[in-house]
Amino acid sequence: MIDIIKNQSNYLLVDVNLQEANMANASTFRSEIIKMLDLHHKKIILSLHQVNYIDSTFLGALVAALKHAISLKLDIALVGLKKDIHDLMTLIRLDKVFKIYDNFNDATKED
Amino acid sequence: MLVQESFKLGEANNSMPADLLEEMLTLIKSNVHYSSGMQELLFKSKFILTELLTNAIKHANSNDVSLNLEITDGFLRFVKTDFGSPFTLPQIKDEQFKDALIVTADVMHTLYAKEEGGRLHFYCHENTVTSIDIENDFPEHFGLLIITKAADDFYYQYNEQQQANIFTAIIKL
Repeated sequence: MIDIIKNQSNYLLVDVNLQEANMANASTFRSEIIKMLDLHHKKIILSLHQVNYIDSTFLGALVAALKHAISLKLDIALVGLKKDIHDLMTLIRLDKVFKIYDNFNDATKED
Repeated sequence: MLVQESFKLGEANNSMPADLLEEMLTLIKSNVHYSSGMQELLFKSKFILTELLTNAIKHANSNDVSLNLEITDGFLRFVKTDFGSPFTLPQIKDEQFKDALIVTADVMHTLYAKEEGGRLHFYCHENTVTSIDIENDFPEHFGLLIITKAADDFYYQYNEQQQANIFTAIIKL
């Protein structure tokens, strides 16, 4: 479900291999990404470019993962969001808690 | 009424079926002549439908879930009916929101409900955010919030005779 595309000293670029990110896969996603944070102890840049549909359950899993990252003094940034998914995050103000970038290069400029 | 269509959620669904969602969005696209705001209308419709059905799958047997879509010249109406446990009415009141029951409250939003004419209408207030303690003061449940913010009117009714939960979301055109 999630694959490490790039493993750098200070971050992981991780691809979400889902077209539909919803309650059917939210729980597995949450476990996998928390495991990844615990194992690598690095910031994660999460690419959602394959995701066409998302629901509130998956958004909840993303927030749970972010909370876990923050508890480890790490972070999760998002890249490659489809316009309506970006708009949804803005609608419910998740854009104020996640760092969201258009692409991977923008996300790594600060690193 | 321009369109009135009823959809049944199939058996053994554990997520929003994308093909059903696309079918409903296509119906809206074909029947609403609202070119200037069509993208926004489809965006709102997509996430209202997704969350209505996600809610039904979580709280009811998906076999008994129906979704009605109504299109008129003045509005779009989505009515989701299921036969799961009744929605638990919140009991917390807050002086800031007179006569309202607080559904959820966090650093970003206060979601509250008011009983009006046998319906429980949902409303949302955006709180002023100075700092965010994500670990301790941030929710992980967004379904009702999404529908409340995307719809112009969103309300719940319980039909005791049929033991049916009826959620209605309206977008004005």
